Amino acid sequence: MTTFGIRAAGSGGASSVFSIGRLFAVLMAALFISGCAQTRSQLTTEGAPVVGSAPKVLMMKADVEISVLTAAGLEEPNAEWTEQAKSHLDGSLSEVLGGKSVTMIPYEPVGGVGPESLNEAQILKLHEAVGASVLLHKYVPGLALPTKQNRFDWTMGEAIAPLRAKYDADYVMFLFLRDSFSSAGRVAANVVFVLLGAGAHGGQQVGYASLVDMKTGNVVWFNFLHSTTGDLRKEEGSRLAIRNLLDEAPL
Amino acid sequence: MKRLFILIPLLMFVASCTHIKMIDPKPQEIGKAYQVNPTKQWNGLNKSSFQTVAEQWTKDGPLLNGMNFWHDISKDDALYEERGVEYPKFREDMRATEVMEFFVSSGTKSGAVNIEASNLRPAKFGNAEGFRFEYTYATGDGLKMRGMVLAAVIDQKLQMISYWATDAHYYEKNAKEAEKIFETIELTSS
Amino acid sequence: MFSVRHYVLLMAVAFGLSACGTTKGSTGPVTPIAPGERPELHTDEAGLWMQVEQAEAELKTSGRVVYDPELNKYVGEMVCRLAAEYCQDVRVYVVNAAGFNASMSPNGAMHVWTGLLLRVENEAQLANVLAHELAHYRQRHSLQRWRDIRAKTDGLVFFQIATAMVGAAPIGALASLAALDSIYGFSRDQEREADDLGFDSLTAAGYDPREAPRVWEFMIEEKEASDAPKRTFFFSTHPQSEERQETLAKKVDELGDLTDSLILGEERFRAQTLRFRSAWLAQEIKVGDFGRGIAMVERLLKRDPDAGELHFAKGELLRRRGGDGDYDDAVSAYEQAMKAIDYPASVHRSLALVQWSQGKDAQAAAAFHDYLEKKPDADDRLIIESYISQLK
Repeated sequence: MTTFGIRAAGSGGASSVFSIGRLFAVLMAALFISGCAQTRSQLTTEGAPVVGSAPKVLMMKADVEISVLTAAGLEEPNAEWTEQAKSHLDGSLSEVLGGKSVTMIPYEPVGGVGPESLNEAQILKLHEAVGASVLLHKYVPGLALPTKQNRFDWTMGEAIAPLRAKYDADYVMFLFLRDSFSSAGRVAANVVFVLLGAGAHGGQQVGYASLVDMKTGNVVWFNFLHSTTGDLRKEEGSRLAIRNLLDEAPL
Repeated sequence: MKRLFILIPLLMFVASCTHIKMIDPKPQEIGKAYQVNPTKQWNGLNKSSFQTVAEQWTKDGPLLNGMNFWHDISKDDALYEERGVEYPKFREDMRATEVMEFFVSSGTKSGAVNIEASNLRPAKFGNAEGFRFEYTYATGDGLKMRGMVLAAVIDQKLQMISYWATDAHYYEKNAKEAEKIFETIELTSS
Repeated sequence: MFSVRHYVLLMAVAFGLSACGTTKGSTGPVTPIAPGERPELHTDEAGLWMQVEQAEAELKTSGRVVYDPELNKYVGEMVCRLAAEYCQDVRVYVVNAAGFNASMSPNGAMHVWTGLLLRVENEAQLANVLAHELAHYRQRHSLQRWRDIRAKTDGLVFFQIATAMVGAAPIGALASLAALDSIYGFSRDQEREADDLGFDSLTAAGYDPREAPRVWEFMIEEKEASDAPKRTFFFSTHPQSEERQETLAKKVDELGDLTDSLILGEERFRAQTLRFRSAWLAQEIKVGDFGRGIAMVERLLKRDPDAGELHFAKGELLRRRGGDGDYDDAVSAYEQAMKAIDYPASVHRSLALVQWSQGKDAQAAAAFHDYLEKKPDADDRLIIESYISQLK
């Protein structure tokens, strides 16, 4: 802190121990378990959602990042792969949600830095905190909240109102996807690990989908995906991941 | 450089936190200093979590809301502890105004952005003369938060309770209940 | 058994070893970026940019950015002058943060801390810092560092293998490259190069180079006065402030005689920044490094001996520190502050608190009265009234 130019601009000024990004990294480490694709969903206990025949869902911009694992197993983001994954996403979503006769409404962010865009940013930040809380307290063993043992009642409450006013939609969908693949160095390291009987760690796919009721702000459904196979960079892999993630959605 | 020290306690938190305990609606001892009597259930976090030396309760998770119960903060004690970070130290002769400054300074050090306290006024802490105030801040990610504090310096020791939550939704949701908890404080020694 | 905690601690140790070790960048050295150049999608640089673009988007809505149009225009124009043909590639953010700092993101997002604007005295001093940051951008120092860290941590895999051999390896992705990137600073060599190139570009832009080493004098002064324990991290990669100050001073000497037409820009700088000074001082006080804060304020007072807000800030820092003799000094500082025409009512409240601690109850009560008189709608009126009744 005493000399200028000391830190990457990404981090900015004072940092918080409550950073969602950091929590997510920790979570992934805590969740590291072997096995193939698995999902575990949560359904609201605040009264089952009433779903019309053709629900309209506001689709927030998906948070997608694809990384390569360095030899030491660190995640390094890869722009080209991330672009590929994003390019397949719309098609996969249309196919999976279209099959449920969902009408998807694209979210249009307010540009600039005026009060409206700052307010809308607060909605996204609140959902980040809500989503991270669900992940921490419903999926990490040891962090379960006793008062929520048989309850799933996380909500955004009235904070959702600006979106309700702006979009004619029944629900809001938030999507978060991460996928990683081993570099050549990591593959080599894994061979050694297997030989030593330590078990290899290659890439893994994690993500979540969160469905929020536009009327109540309640998170009516939440699904977490973890997979050691799959490939979001490919059309088929993207479709498979989205199907795994959204098939059970009560839409 | 500070970041490594943030990362380690966080990982330790996840690794070491074996359980979060149920706080039932019945009298709860806070150290040997005072007790409160919640009207509803809360979740009690492990003491070491999130660097605070306070006892911490939450409804929906510490990212969204919670209450901190500090007790017997004495000369040269800090409100938070974190390796490599110098937190402000309590002075036993602090008046209400200075305790509020101490709280704001400690919050700033712990990563709260643009923390502002206001509306300092006298209030009862149990049967002791104390004070309270409100505050706002943002997390490092920019999420707006709100809180309120009730405290007293008794026999040169600070007893203090804060309630905090996201400004959007969660603050209002539990503020009344926190208020009720404030009203149930009973000093153990008296 | 092995816990995550052990693993992380060992990892940190291994880190230290590899940092002092012999591993060198594997993906090769970088070349300076050209004006208008953007990384190609398939490169590691594009991945780095993707990450910092996300951070930049978040910064905009974080509430930490100062959006005063005039101040932004002013700093932006200075950056442009120094950046020359890179002007279009750089975006400047004035960030609300205490501390003597600025930073540069590899994608051209520059953070100028309000704590920096509070401390420098003129455009030439500010230009020294801005030009230094711009040099980091032009030389692609972040990318170089990114590659160095990757190469260093790649060495870590041998450590992982060693622990696997003793059957104790919990293998998982525990960190991202970005998380480690934010731990590391630029290397000593990168800082030296940025100082060097920055100096050249501030001279080329017509700023008075004699001001450049001054910034480092300030830095050293504050570091020495700081309450923070002087510690040296094993992964500290920075050249000492002293070395940087000396190097810049030598460069000034090498320039020989300088003309008088060089830009100092003191009046313009003051016109743009003084109106924020009270708020920026308040931020520094909140951070609570009293020694450093007092050194800073005393330096600023040499230039502005009558500035009420500086005396007030000095009083606040002394009062909060409360060491031997601090209360007496605080009282004098508040008395000085009250000589300013439009001093804030809170000076009276602070004075009263100090006097109360000194046992001067009658004076304290009077000062609290003065506070309420000057600020009838004070939101802490009730507590102040309670103080007054306690003092009676």
